[in-house]
Amino acid sequence: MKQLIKIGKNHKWIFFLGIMFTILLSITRSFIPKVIEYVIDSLLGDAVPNLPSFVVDLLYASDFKTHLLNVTFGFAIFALFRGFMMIGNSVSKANFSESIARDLRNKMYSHLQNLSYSYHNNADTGDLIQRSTTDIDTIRMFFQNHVFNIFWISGLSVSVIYQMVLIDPVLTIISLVVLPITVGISMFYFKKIEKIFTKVEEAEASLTTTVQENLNGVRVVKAFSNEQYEIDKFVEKNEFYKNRSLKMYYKMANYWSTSDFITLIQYCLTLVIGTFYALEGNISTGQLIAFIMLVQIVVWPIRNLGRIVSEYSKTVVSIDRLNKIFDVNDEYESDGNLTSEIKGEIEFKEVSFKFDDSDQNLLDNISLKINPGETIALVGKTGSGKSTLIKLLIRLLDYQSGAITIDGVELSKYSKKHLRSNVGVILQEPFLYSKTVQENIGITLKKRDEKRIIRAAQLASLHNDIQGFEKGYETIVGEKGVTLSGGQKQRVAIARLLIDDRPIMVFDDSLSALDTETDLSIREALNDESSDTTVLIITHRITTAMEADRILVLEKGKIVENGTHDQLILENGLYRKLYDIQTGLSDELEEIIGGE
Amino acid sequence: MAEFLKEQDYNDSFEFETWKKILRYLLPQRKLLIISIIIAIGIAFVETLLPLLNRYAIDTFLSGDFVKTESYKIIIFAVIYVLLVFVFAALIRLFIIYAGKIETSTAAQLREKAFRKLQKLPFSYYDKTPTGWIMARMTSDSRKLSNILAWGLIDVVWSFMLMIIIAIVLFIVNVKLALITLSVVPLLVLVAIYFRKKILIQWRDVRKTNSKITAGFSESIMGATTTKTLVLEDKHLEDFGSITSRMKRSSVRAVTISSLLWPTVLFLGYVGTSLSTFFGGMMVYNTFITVGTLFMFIQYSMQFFEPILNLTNILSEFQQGQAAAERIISLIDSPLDLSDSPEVIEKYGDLFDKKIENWEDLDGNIEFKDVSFKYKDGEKILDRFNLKIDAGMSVALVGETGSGKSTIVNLISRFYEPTGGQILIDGKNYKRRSIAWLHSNLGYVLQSPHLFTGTIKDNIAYGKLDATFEEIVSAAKTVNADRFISKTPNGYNSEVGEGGNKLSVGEKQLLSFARAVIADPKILILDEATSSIDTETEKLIQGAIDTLLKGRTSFIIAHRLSTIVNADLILVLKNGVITERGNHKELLEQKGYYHRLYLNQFKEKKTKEVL
Repeated sequence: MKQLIKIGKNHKWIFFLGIMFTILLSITRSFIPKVIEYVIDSLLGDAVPNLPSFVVDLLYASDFKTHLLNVTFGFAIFALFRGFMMIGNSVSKANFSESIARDLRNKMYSHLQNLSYSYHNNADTGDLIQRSTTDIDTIRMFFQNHVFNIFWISGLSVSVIYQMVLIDPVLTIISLVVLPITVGISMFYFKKIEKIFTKVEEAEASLTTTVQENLNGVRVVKAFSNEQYEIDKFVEKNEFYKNRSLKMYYKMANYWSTSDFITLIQYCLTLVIGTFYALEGNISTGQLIAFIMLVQIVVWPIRNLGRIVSEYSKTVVSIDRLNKIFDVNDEYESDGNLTSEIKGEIEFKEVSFKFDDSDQNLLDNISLKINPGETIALVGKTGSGKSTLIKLLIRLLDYQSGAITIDGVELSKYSKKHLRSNVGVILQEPFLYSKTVQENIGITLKKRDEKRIIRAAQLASLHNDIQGFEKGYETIVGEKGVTLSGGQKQRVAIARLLIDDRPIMVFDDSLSALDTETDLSIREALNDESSDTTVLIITHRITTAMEADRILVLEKGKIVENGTHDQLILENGLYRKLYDIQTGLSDELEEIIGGE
Repeated sequence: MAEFLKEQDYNDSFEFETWKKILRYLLPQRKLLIISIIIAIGIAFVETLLPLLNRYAIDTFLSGDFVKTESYKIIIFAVIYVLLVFVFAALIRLFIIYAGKIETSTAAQLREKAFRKLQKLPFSYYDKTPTGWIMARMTSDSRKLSNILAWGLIDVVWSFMLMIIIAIVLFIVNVKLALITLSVVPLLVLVAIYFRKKILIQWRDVRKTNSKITAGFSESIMGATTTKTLVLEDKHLEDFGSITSRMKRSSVRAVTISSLLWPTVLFLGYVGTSLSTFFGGMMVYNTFITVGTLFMFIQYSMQFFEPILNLTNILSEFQQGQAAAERIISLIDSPLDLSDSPEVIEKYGDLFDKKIENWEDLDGNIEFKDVSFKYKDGEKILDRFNLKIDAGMSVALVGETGSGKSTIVNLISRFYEPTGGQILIDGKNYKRRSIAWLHSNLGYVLQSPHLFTGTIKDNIAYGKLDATFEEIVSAAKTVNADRFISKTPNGYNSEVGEGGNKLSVGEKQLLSFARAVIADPKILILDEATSSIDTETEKLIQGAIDTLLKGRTSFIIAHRLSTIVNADLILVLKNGVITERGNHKELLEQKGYYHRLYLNQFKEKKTKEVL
């Protein structure tokens, strides 16, 4: 709600403009019967019209024909005037609600981007998208129509009732006697309809699931020859959905017919009692006609009050759902501001990390020093803490104890964005954006630079692949584009990092998806390009690991082996075991090959 | 895929053929339709009667020569009025109910028709049609179409009736005044139609931008971590901001254009009202007509414009309805390019009416005889392929993607048919038996197991719909699924969730094995998963596979070493040709592709065990 008010404040003038138009329109709407009354009464020569005197003076002419012409012409001008106000009204309403929607969308987008890694890791993607689209839309609709409707109904009621009271107070009360009933019934029904609507939606969802499962499992259905069974299942859900929808129509039919009945009975009451009044000479014929029209004007919109109330409750729910996201702190609320140049010396000092909801340390008292320009290979089982180590390094996660420094400065002192621009990480499952390959590779560039893009693609052994695509560098990739192979995706991710020089580069198991030769050529290219870059490579490939300056083996959050290939090969640890298996020196393999 | 992307574009011209087909779907509802049209006419009548009553009251009771002693007449008038109102309310109620009935029944019927068709469509259809495309037809399109058919049609009738009756009454009462009042109508219609077209185009633009916003959100959420590591937050926000700004601009533009329509119509309406007020007033002055008549004219002229707006609105809705109709019809009318011949159906029945009594037993001898195959518009995958498998043998198919493994399996399952040559089952061309016969004897276990919403019991029984509970339990036990099932909260009655999402991949796999076991097929297809499963489940699954294969002719697209090693026959495929064949030992000795593959996989497996 706070956010919404803040956003709303920026657009308050257009809001007031919209309200002004709405109220003006509602007041002028109540003038229409007045004009009719004026015409009829002057025709019958009945009474002095109760219009403002300047209007009467303006319209009056001694000749009846000119007088009538003046009145009708005035009426047309009046209509034109209202027409312009209507346009102004719609446009300012739309402007207001669309501005709110735009600001809310931008705010949500920015907030989503800034939410922490852990939040995204645990979030339900579908639900987040639902909230950012449907819920914002609900809010937009409420501000476009229903908010102004309240002013419309209030303005209309006040001015119409005022006009009616001017004609006759008692008849006014009689004419509006059903109004509270209409309001009550309207509220009651819309609440009910809302409930049944939810039920209809549930039934539809269940039907949709059935169809979806049938389509996804078409092989299973066909292979088991269960087509008839599927149809029976479908027909049952289909009927259920149909009956529930029909039930909703029954409810709606009841509501509209009841409220129509009450409203029309009200006319009848006004007409009959008004006739008696006119017969008594209390009001003129023109006034009676005006009265009937006034009743008509005010009663129909009142029937919508219930709708507004139910929309309001829906909107509150939507705002609530958005707030649940806005209330989560974004990760930049704890950020450093240091943006000094980074050379690439990394040190871990007794670092421990665990997730909030667990009591087991994922990293346990890790101490480690990496010199600038060094290449380190990290080897270990799934869950040994390799990836966690990387995530700590770029502050996607924050450790509980110990210290990590880069160039001797504690990580938390650096601005996160500065840190991440300097420590390039290629994730295990990289995400490509729905843009062209070229744009994806050059995504961090301020300006498009084809030469650098192609150069990066070459370094990542991707250039030839891209040239094989039908549209070359203009091929759209990502969710909505061409499906790339896992290896190609990885190489796009590598290319988009290689486009810039970074003092520290991290490959989170990203080379393993490539074949051995591509792996090798990328690493060679990397060596040639930037020999003073500090490189961390997570891998399970011995051929990759053995070329590193140093190899670290992690087990259960601890560093158990640390040394060069030649050193570790002599220890009888995990590294040695891997080496034996992958180079074909294990006993089992000997047996197989020997069995020929 | 390209043809599916174009679906959003509407065809603006009127397609007579489409509507002829669509109206046929309303045929079953014709009784309801006639009743509701009568109701709509009734409503139009009452609506035009009410202003007439007003006129009567004003002219009779307030004319000056009305005698007060006759005021009982007013009471009688009131009673008639109330009765009429009652009739009106009742008609409105019936109107909504009947139109609702037509809508829901038509929608249900359209969906059912489409679904039945979907069950019959061959596999090739699903290969080239995205699920989302089909889903859109089953949900939003059928809803939109039936909505327009039911309410639109009745609304058209109501609008026309209302206009006709008002026009008739006006002409009867005073021809001159009627002509003057209605003089603005043609202009009104033209203006309305012009605007509707413009409005439709604008909103299309808004919808397009809206889908971009959704895509933007979805990308920001799914790519959140990547965005962080590349520090792209500001750049993305800027891009997104330009989309939301465009959304605002085009929405406001659409609203502006829409908002021009109503005031214009209203203004023209007021001009009409003004005209009738002026000329009518003059007539009253010259005592050609009464005051009551004038009031009636004014009321009618105001009442006349609603149906006109309504009609133009329906017109643009029908345009959208046509697009929805075209899409649904294209689904219902999709050609069946794989089905049983009439003679076969005659003898063995079709998918829905199986004549099981005529079905032969199936042993499981399979022979490919000079089989050629190519997918539509594709390259040849198999060329004069020959293969003979004896009943009870297990065959492992090994090879790279595109080597023809899946094609062979698809052909055996008769998801596709050979484009040349023939496949014999027990020595007879399988096209001479029914699809249902083959499928009743076929078990198919998928790479990514697919379960249906429902209980564990339901999912196992899917393989044999009339299975007893004992059979279900014994099937589960055979594949070692019993243990995990008994650990779930409600045992066999536990819900598996949508698509089985409450279970782990391994558990889903075990259930899909149980489902195959209970069906007790003679031929088994096993599309093996490469998914990473913990070692314990892996062992359970291995055991399950061994029992599953016993006594059946089985084809395995194999990934697990152990499955391959134990197969009776291993076929190594390359470009649709068998390059190596034999059992594990024989192939290792050949030192070819299989030998290399095996060593690599072995290393990978061992590495995985260590890491």
